Amino acid sequence: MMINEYNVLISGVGGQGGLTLSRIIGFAAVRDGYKLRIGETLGMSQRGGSVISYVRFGKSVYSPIIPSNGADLLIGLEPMEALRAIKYINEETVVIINERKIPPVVVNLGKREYPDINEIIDLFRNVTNKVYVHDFSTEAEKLGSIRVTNVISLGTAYHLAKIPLSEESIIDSIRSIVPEKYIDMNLLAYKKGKEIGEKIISSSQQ
Amino acid sequence: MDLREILLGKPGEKYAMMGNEAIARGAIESGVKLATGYPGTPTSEVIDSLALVARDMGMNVEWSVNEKVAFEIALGAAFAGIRALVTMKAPGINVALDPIMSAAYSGTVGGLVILVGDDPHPHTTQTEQDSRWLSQMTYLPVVEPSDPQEAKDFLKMAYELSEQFSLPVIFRTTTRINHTTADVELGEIIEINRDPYFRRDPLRYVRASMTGNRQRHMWLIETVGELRDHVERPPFYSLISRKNSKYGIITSGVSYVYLTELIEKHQLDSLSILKLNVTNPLPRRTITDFLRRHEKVLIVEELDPYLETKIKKMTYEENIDTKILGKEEGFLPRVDEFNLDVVGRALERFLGISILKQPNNKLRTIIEKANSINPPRTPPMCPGCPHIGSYMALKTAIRKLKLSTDEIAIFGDIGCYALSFQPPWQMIWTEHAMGSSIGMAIGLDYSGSSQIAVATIGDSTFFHMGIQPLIDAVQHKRNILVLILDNGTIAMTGHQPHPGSGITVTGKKTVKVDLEYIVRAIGVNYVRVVDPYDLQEATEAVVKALKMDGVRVIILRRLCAIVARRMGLQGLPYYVIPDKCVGCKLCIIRTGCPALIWIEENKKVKIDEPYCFGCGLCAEVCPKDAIVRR
Repeated sequence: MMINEYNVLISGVGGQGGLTLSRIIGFAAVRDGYKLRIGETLGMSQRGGSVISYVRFGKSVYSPIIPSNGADLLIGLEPMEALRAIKYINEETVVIINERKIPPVVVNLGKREYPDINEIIDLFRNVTNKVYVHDFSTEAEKLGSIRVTNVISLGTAYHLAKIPLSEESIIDSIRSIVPEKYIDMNLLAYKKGKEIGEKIISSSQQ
Repeated sequence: MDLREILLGKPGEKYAMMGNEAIARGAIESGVKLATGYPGTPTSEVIDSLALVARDMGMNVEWSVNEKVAFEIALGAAFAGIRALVTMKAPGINVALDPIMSAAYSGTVGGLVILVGDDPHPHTTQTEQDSRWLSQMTYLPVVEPSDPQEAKDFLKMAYELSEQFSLPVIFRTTTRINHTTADVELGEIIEINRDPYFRRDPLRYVRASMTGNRQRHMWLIETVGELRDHVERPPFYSLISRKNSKYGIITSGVSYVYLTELIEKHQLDSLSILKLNVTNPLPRRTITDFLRRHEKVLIVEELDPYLETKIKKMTYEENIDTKILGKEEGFLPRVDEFNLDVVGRALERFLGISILKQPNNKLRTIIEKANSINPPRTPPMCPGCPHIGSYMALKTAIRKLKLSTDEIAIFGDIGCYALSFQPPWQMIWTEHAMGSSIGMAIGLDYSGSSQIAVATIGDSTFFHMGIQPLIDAVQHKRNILVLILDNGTIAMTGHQPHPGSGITVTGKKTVKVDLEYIVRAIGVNYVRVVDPYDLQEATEAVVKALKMDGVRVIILRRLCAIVARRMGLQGLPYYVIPDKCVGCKLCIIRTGCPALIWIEENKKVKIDEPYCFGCGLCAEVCPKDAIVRR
């Protein structure tokens, strides 16, 4: 069934692989026959600044930017950066947050405080009850590289949010976007992410 | 499937492509044989993409030394009859404007398209320049796509217009077109086989002939007049006309996609839309017909009221009393980029309806709370960035002379090092245009102020437009200190090669133009080359130079850490010995390195080792020798 529009927002810190993630989802959407719009701001992508990318697919998407409260799924690769995107969520949004903090320079300098992680989660839970927090970075390190944090979180997001794309397309997309020597690790990461998603669901049902 | 294969794909195939990649494919489909440019967000990926297929397509592709040179190279090729593309960001077209003015009089032979990327918001640009205005001065046609597919398709249209009317065409995009990735269907690749030859025609090409200049000015006006008649039909505009509609919208560029989505989603079936794909010259009959058929017309365009101003003028000339609404009536802002919310609100007001979901009070309170507790994350300089060392040396040197960075005027320039205006460095006082730092330092010296004038400029920026002001300084014996931060690449825009890199964009090894020889040849008598990782030597060199008179140049040379890391050149990481760390934070305060993390629990610094580049600058400033190499 062709859906009208599905909106994914990925927020993180430059260098965390948010743009790669948006491309993986986007390429899969085109493979599944959808119209696609990815909005991203490049230029600061490698520089450790805030990076937001919008992935939109469906029959009737035109704008490269998600409207306020328009996200179906928010993947926050870093807690502060997830919070920065809160204006895009609504009561139905699935929110996946990577717990690992990357303090910005103002925090390291002691000029500002890193917001309390529980307060961040509470703010999200005040809007939607589909908020899932996990330390994907540690999972990535266990797999051998922090660089697959993004793809693990995608595996979990796919499972929890039921992203309306075929899994085959996502896997195919990972294969075509990730550099050859990292494909296996990323496929493993995707699988790991799915397992995490399954565990979260089964524990919430108990 | 890699980008090269996608760019060379077959007609009818569909891929997810970034706007700039789609423009590159458009150039391939149009039979472009030469592409030049200077890197600048949001257009850089066009040349980067074309470089991948240069060999396959028999295309010459280069990053030129600056936009003026890039344009002149493309123009020379177009005079010989081949199709050429030149790319730049908005400030770049200002740099190239001098030859563009003359080229408008000469006209072109082979198709010549100037891609200029404006940056509403702005995301990464000095100003929110609306480059469409340049068409009023140059008379040149302007083509505006609204999304990546059109960006590809319209480029072909631009080449046809360019050759049919012998005029260079300005292809104007904005960030949300260049950097949007969308499904794009590939088209046919045109085979163009021409024998390039430049035919002599002094009256046309020599601007020293004043008679010729008047003739060519007249020719230009007449040609644009013919073009005006020519664009009075699709595909130069597209019209969605609805029966009995009282309200109409005139738009161009990316604004169209927001309108389309809102109209479709909210079934605003009574609206007619005139979308202008060529925004200079404007199709006057089409526009005035459209105005006459509607009671009220809203003009939806980002940045300046360009269409609005010109269309309002038409209503005066043609005696049309349709109400025209836009920026001057406060329906839409001049500042920042549009989105569905901004355009949606304008539609609500224009139509007197309510379509946007109103965020409830609870959500609004949550967003406010989130904003209040969330600190900003400005882009830092990268771990191992040589500019960190350069600015540390400058700051330390200034302090050694018992002066402060609030007294010594530090003129900055365009590049990553401009990030040094932020905490904790807070170094540069200005950042204006490519190469401006040196000229402005000369000006301060002339002003009679007792301040020491320092200019800091990157290597590529120096090649681009920094050499000329340095010549000026030497000729006039001014007192300035110039620090050239030489990291071997055009880092900010994605590590493109420049004349000092020893390589071209297509990966060919070439001569390395040596900055030091240039500086010495100009006649600067105090020239030092130092390593910004060697804080002691660099500081000593700056101290000495600050105390001297005349033109002094210090080249701080060290490869960009991102490039070095890709080449596997990083050193072993450093770590903090917790027992020795006293939590003074001097390492963080002095370097601003994002790999240094403050741990609040034990009040000590920790190094994020995979992120650490191993430059050792933090270890050099630690008063307790608590930071050591693995």
